[in-house]
Parts: sequence; C-alpha cells; structure tokens
Amino acid sequence: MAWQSVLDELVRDRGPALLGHAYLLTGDVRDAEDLVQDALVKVFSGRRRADEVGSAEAYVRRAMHTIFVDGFRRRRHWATIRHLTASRETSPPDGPHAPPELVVGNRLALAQALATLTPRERACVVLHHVEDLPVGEIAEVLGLSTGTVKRYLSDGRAALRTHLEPASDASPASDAPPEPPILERIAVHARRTR
Amino acid sequence: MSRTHHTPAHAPGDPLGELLTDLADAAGSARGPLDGALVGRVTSRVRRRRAARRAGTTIAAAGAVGAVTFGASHVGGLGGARVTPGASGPDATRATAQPSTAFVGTAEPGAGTSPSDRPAPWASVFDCGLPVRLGTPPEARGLTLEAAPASTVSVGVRDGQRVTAQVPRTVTYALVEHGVVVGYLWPDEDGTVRLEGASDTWVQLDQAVHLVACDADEPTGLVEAWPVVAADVSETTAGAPGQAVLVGEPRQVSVP
Repeated sequence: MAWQSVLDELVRDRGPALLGHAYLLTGDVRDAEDLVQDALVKVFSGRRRADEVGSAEAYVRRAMHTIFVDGFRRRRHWATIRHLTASRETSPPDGPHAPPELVVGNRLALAQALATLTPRERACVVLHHVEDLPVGEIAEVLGLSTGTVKRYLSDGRAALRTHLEPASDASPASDAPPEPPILERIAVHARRTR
Repeated sequence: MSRTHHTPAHAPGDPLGELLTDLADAAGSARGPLDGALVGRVTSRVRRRRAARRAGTTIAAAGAVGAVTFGASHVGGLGGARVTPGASGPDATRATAQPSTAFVGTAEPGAGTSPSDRPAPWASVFDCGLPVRLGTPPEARGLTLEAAPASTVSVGVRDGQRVTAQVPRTVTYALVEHGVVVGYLWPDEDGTVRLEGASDTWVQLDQAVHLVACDADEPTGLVEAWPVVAADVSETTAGAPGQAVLVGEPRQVSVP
C-alpha cells in the first residue's frame, strides 16, 4: 500500500485514538494535534517503511513519545508556544482547548494531576499504564536506563497520588450522586512495576 | 513495539490504566475525526522532507515551527549587504550595496513549484553541510526578491521589465552558520500565486514554515537565514522564460 493510502486510513480510522493518546502526554488538545502531526511526519518521511496501518500506528505512537520527550515543547508551533509560555496560574493544566467532556469530575482531576508531572514522568506513566510496556521496553523507547525509568514511574505515581488526594475530599457541586473518589479507583500502588 | 493498538493495551485490573485510557478516549472523541486538512499538511511536509533528503540532506529532525522569530535586525556585520550576482563562495555575500535582493539561478522548469519529491531547485546554492554557493549567472528573468528587515518577503518585477510567473506563496529560508548550511525553514503549505505585470507588481509571501535540520544538532537561537524562492517564469522581457531562483538578503531568525 502506498504511504499516502496508509496515512489516509490511519488518520481516518485511528486519528481520534492517536489524538487521545497524545493528549495524555501534552495535556492540551491543540498541542496534541501538533504532536500527532509531527509524529506522522516523522514516521512517513523516515526510511522505515510504514506500509500497513497497524504497524504505522505503532510507529506513530512511538514517535509521539520520543518527540514529546526529546523536545516537542521546543519546536512546537508559534501560536502554541505563546500559549504554553503562560504561567501555570493563568493557564489551566489542561489548557484552554480542553474538550468540554473533560472539564468534569474525575477526568478533570486526573488531567490536572497529569499536568503536574514532568514530560518524562508523563511519558513513563503513559507507556507503562496505557501501553502496558515493561520497564525495559520503556527505557528502550525513551533512550533511558531502566533505573531512571523506575524512578520516573515511582515519582510520577507518587505525584499523581499527592495531587489527587484533594479530589477525594471535594464535595460535589450538585445534587448528583458523587463519583467515587478518584484516588480510591486509581490505587496507584496496587500494581507492581515490571 | 510492533503490535497494533486497535484495542486498549493497559493491563486488566490496572485502575490507573483504565482511567488514563478513559481520559484519552474522551479527549480523542471530543474532537471528532481528524479532518483531511491534517492529512494534507502531513503529506506536504513529508514530501518536502523527502525532497530535502534527495537534495543531499541527512535530515535528523524536523519540527513544526512558525515558532521562528524573525529579528528586526539584519545579520550582524552584513548591514546593507546583498547578494552579488555572479560571485562565488560565501564571502561573496558580504560584498555590495543597496538595495537588498536578487540573484539568481536556473533550474529545470517546474522543479520548484510543486510539492513533488524532486530536489529543491536551489539545492545547488544551499546544500546541507556545504558552504553557500553563489556562482550562478546573474539572470533573474525580470524578477526580484525583496526581504524587509523584519519579516516581510516579497517577489516583484524588476524595474523596466514585464513578467508573468507562478510564485510560491511562501518563502523558504536556508539556515546558515559560519557560512555552512545547517538547515531550512520549509513552507508548511503548498501553493503558488500568479504574478503578472510590470514594475511595482509585488506578491508578499507568507511565513508558515517548519524547521528541517541537517543533522541531529538542530540549529537554535539566532541563526542566519537566507530567503530563497524558485519561481516559474512563463513570460518575461528579461531573457528567456524558465525558472528563476531568487535569493534575498540574509537576516537573523530566532529558532526556539
């Protein structure tokens, strides 16, 4: 299949999934779109053949992680840079372009907690808990030592736990049934790091 | 990592994985399907990178950019300088006087106006890792390129000439450090605009560009940038029709 066809199919069928995954890394939908675009360009202009949608998606996800960790923030589009140079106090952690569906309940709390992690911590947490990659493979993808990955995972989960604790004490703003405290659901120490 | 990702990959019973996947699903689905414009932008950038690679580059990095800030000053030590038609070697760029603009070269017709995989028509002047080579005959086919000190770049018709040409909507910049090409700022979008007329007919070029570095050590900070445009001239009172490569006066850009 020609690369243009693979690209078309990948964006059409898997675009939202890629965008969602990128959002976990960037914390802002517009940044996520830029990251997806950069990753697509990297994969489809590289020498490695991406002649099938499944493998292309895997390559793109991998490229998103490396681009994000290696300097996505430095190379992003000017408009995006302007937004990101705003201080955290004036720019919500999930950014001004967060999907409205996110600005509620536990998703918002999780998005805000994720925003407190460093890029590498975020990448390690996402790779381990979403991609289900073991530490050794994360180290390979990100070009880090396994010890460093373990430290990022530990620090990242600890930070998530710390920042999610207030959410468990928050009172619901309406008469709707309260959602389960997110900290209880996450149980960040329940899973061993492989 | 070769598996496909058509289903969530998180381990069963991993609450954090489930919540993260839920967050990703919400973020992705909230924006709906990505539109064809994204495919177009990606395709354009991919083709340019492939073309740049064929032009002799070994691209190690390319990022979105617009993030480039165009300085208000010219490259240090070059104030008022311009490219000298017919001169050769990087030192030739330090040669002469007012006004800014123009120089030229020739290339295969059509080689620079479509997003094809062909090498850039100006690759013989700005080639990755090599010194700037300005040795082409002084033939601009009646066109001139004017680069204002800040950010504006325009292509127009030289005094006393009449020209019809297809001109890219966006200028490309060759990034040069110590006289050697270290990267490019390529247009993000394709497209040309028709320029037809005599003196004082101008087309201003946009500046949506992305960075293409020649090696892994990407240029950052203040970098010397040479605007370069390849136009297809179909009619001209200054010589024969064909392609004109116009190189403007260098200026500083700030690459983040």
